[in-house]
Amino acid sequence: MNEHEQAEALARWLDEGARGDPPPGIDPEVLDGLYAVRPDLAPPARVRVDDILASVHEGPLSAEDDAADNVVAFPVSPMRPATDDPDDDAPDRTARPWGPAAGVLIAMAAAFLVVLMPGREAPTSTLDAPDLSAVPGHLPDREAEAVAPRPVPEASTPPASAEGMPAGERPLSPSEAPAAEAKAEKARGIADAAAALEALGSIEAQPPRDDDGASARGGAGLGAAGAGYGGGAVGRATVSSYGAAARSPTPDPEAEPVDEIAPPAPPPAAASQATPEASSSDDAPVGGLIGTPTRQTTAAAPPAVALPDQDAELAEEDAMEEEPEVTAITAGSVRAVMAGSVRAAPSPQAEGRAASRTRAAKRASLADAEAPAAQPSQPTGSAVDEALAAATRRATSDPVGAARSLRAWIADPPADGQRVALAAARHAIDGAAPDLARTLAQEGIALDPSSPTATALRTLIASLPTP
Amino acid sequence: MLALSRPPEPMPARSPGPSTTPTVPLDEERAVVARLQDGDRAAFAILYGWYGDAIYRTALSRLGRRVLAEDVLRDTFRKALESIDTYEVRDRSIYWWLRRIAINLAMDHHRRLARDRDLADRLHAEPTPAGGPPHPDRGVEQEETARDVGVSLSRLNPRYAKVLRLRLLEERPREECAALLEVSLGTLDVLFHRACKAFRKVYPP
Repeated sequence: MNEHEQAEALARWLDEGARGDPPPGIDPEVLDGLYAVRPDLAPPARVRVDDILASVHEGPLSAEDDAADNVVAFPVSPMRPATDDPDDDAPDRTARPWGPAAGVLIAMAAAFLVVLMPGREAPTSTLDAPDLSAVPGHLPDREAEAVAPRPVPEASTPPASAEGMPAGERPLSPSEAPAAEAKAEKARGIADAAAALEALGSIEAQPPRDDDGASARGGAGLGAAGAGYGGGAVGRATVSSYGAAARSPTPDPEAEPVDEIAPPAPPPAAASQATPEASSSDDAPVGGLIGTPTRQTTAAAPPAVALPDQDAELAEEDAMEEEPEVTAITAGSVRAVMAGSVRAAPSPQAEGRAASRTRAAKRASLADAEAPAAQPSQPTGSAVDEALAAATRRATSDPVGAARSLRAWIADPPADGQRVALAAARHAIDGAAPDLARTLAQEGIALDPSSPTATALRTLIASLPTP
Repeated sequence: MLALSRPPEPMPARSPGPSTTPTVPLDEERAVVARLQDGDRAAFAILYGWYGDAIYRTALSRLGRRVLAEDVLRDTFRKALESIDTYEVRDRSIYWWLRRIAINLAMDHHRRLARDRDLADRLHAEPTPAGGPPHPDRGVEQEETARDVGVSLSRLNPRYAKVLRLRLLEERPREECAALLEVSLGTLDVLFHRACKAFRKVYPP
């Protein structure tokens, strides 16, 4: 059952007085939420009297009491005569019916094993994983191996033994397989993050929809949010200026590998033209979701596909949905900061924190980077670009240090508006490509693939070592 | 025997309150407890029929999950039966004793999750009526549940909170809810569906 069918069935059940069990197929979390508000609507507990009685092991109603008559007494050891006197227990517990000779024999056998067989290797176990560092050509981080299997030199190449395994690859032992699979999955996520950045272009061009077709976050959803909360049609047009030559730093020749991961993106103008706006309201007041100043755009295009009324309403509801961790930043403010033309208006306390964070972050991540000094005339939003570009340059020469600095920077973000970009970078580092795309989409950040930020993120993703 | 001559009380009918419990004469309850203390397992069916559903819904209102509430229900009566011989019959219903066990178990669950120590402490510090009404009082349950529900609703998206209030607490018809929220009936249903799911994540507060 999709969401609509579930919702309809649930409404019908409630209208009928919520008699009996709820209709099948409804999400248990939905029912739990319903029962939390109205416990009286919950069906009776599925706990039977017999189950409870069977679980009682003490007291007058103990289940063992009934069965006691049928229990055959365990034969008492002849070495230890039964006694009712509890004082006799202590010495008997220490008595060994087989005497001290067996203990001596066991000790001698253990000493034999330890002394006479020191060089013998134990069978493969999780504690005795082969030392791959001794293998020529071994990568310290096997995640890279998982992403792009590289052939091991023939000297250390075991023959292909597993069916379907190409020659040149060493079959994993059972103890290694789960860990390697998890690492490979994570590393694939990093590679996917680059693709996710490319997908950002498609976020701009086509609003994402959930599988059930009920929601349209990010693209159309946020456009609708602008209309629904009077935020105006703030969206992709603000991003189209992102790749403006005025703010684009000179591309670093060392950043060339980016193109190997992601093909060149369409020009910003094209992306801007392809950007749909779910809805726009000319008379809507300018403002963010919760009143943060944003910029109103006049370049609002109609959605590519006209939604039915209900879907449009639901898209609006989606846009109004508040995620607790997102409420600190408005989509409008983030877009404005990212667009570099409007500075988000933080609270006085946030300004103080932001100033100190900016100083700390620049010390942590940009001290030894080759980034040029920030131009006073440049907009604030470009600081993200500059920092990421600097980190990118550094990543090519010192990827581990760059990753460390970037993580430190993320832990202490320089400003609220930049937190989102850094959260996106964190997701990229963590290899959570879907989270990256979702974060950006939820925050209304539609990165122009040709923008410096996108380039820097792609390069970082490509160059950073897997954590 | 009482258990044979009189079947257990039927489960209370549903009503728009957190929990309902049948009114049981205290003398009758004492007789059942005495039988339990003597090891009469048949008497347990009577006690469970009286208070099982109320304990279940008390646990459900605090845990927000049916499966967990059933676990608490099972453990509550198991613990009660295992120490029934130490229970001192007083001038108040055994329900309060059972309820205290259930709340403690729910509190243990919250502590295990380390999710909300404040809630656990608050539950622990909750006073049990000393003399109190001899039988379970719906008012206490309603008040506690309403307080927690209110706190959780305040943490929800306002529209989600509104649809839950209108549909579940005020029990308004769909058409009226849709008109108040200015959406179609289909959208209202989906909104309500999502609101329930969202509420699950913020409850208990």
